[in-house]
Amino acid sequence: MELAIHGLTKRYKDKTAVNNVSLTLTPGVWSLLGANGAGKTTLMRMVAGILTPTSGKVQYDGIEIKMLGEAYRDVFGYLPQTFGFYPEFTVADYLQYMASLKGLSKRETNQKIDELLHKLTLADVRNKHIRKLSGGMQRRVGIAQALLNDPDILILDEPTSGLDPGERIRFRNILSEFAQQRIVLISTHIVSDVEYIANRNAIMKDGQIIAVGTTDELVKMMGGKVWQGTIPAEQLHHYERTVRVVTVRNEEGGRVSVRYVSESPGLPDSQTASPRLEDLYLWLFRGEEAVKEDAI
Amino acid sequence: MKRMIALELKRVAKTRSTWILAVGALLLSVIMALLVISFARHWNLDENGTEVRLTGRDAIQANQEMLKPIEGELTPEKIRAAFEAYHEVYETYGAKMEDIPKDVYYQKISPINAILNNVREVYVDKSTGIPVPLYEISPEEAANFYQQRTERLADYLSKEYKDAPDAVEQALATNEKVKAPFYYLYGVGDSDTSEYLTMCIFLLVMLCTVIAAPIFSADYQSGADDILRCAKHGRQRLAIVKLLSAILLTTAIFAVCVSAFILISYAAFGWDSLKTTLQLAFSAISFIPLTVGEANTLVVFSGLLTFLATVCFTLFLSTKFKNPITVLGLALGGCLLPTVLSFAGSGANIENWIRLCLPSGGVGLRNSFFFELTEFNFLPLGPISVWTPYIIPVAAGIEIVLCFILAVHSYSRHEAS
Repeated sequence: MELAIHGLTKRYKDKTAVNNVSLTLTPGVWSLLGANGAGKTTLMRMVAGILTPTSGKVQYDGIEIKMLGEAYRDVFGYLPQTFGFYPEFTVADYLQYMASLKGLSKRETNQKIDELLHKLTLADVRNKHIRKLSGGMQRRVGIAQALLNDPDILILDEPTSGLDPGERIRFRNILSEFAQQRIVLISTHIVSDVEYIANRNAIMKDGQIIAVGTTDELVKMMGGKVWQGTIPAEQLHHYERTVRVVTVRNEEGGRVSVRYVSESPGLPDSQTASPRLEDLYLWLFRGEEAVKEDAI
Repeated sequence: MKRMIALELKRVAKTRSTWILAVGALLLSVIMALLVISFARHWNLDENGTEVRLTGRDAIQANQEMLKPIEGELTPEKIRAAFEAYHEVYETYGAKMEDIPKDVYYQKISPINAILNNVREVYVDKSTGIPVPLYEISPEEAANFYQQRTERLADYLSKEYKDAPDAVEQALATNEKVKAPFYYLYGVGDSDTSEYLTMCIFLLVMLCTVIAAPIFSADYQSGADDILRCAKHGRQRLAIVKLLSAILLTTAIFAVCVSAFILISYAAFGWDSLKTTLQLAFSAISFIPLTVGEANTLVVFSGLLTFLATVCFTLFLSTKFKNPITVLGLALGGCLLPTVLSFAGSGANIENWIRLCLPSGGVGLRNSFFFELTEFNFLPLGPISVWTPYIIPVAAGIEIVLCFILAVHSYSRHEAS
């Protein structure tokens, strides 16, 4: 099973959102990392078949998804960045509605809904209106609908936005369990959400894939570029202008321990540190505003 | 498919705006039926000789009582007797109404007024087209009403359609099917029921346009559509399901509201009165072989087609635009366009074709299937003349199918922005 993206391009009047992207997705969890505006959502919408590419194609097991039509959608699950739901529906109503659209029988539907509500800890709110749920719960309902048909291909666009730390851990575990023999593509700009569960990562910048590999392979690229040093707290502001700071930790005696990425040591008495995916992300997006999320 | 339709119906029916509009539509229909009843009038003198005016159900009962003697078939004998009674009053008091004592008027003229008015319509001065004064029509001449009616119709049509002899032929051929003697029973035909039925359908069209407008466009706007169209049946089948559900729901609202209107008004005016010949309710020279009840049934049937054409057109617009307000504005504009054309148009043939062929061409404030049915309008189509009441249901039927197919196609091909 493979999902092959060939030279996918989406050009709007004044902007090229996705520029000649090629990528072959195999079973496992894939992360699509990139800053806001990198083109992740546009790429995912084309893979979902709801946006027509300007050029290029997406093939599932060698057949173009446009040709597969219903057969492709039958093995496909999708959670868009903005989860649009019917405000008049309860959680159970909505999932029943989606299950019928996905072609599940009545029996399968009830069984699957019970299972997913339990897994996603939504059982208590099954008869509540979706509009009355918290943002995190609404997001979980969105994840539940994407999993209803046990899809072979699961595309989740920023699935963890709005989830609290506990929910994010639960989500990661569900996904790890689910991803066996399935293709799961998760787009995010929060590196820590995918660092430990993604088998492979694709990093996107300005509409192009700039790096692809396992976390270890990508992290290797950062060998000798991640440093750690301790400086007086009042000098932090000065050094932030010269190096890309990853984390800052307060130490005793008015000093701070700084982890940063740089071609060469930028702080006095710096030592190399073991690199992580987050370091690579910050390195590749040096010129852009980074989204700092606490690792869970 | 059935399960999908049931779930979609549940969804639309659960939307607050839908049931508010549905309840509003029902209330409106009931109010309009009650208005028609309240418009019934009966004048008479009380025991003290004072003129009294009855309204509503009291007026209906009084009129039914008063007009009992002329109920049934309007035979030449009955017409002759009515004119003999009129001449009796005329010879004593003259033709001016104000010279006739009120008690004489209410006792002798009011019960035969319906007959006098119909006979007067067919006796006109051929050179001017102005009705001949009643006192100039003898009881013998009046008894010749049915023959005179046919001559008057032929004369009117030949003047009105001197360049379209086939229109005259069609009308006279249809007229041959009109049964004589006419049948009369006071009730629905004497009321504004048919006009208000048309108005009721027009308001239902507007209200159901509001229900249909967001069916697709709201999903585009909220982003719900992105998820739906990624599901196995989320394209063509979902489009069909959404269209069928919207049509089913709005048709149910139409059926309930029109039934409520009809039940209330018919029950008040009397079901038997539906047997009254259409000519006695609207125009003696009308060439349509229908009773009042049959004409109203056709109004409902044509109204339903117009209603569905407008709903399907709105649903098609809904598949095209992301903003429900844009859809609503365009759809309501489309609903009102025939009315605007009938008020402000020049009356040119092409304009009338457009007005009648628009999805809502069959209902409006001054344009409707009912008005076309009771008038004498033909429109040219190349060498032939087409009677306008045929145009409305045929155009609506075509539009229902066309808009349905276009909506399915448009939704299936819709692309996320």
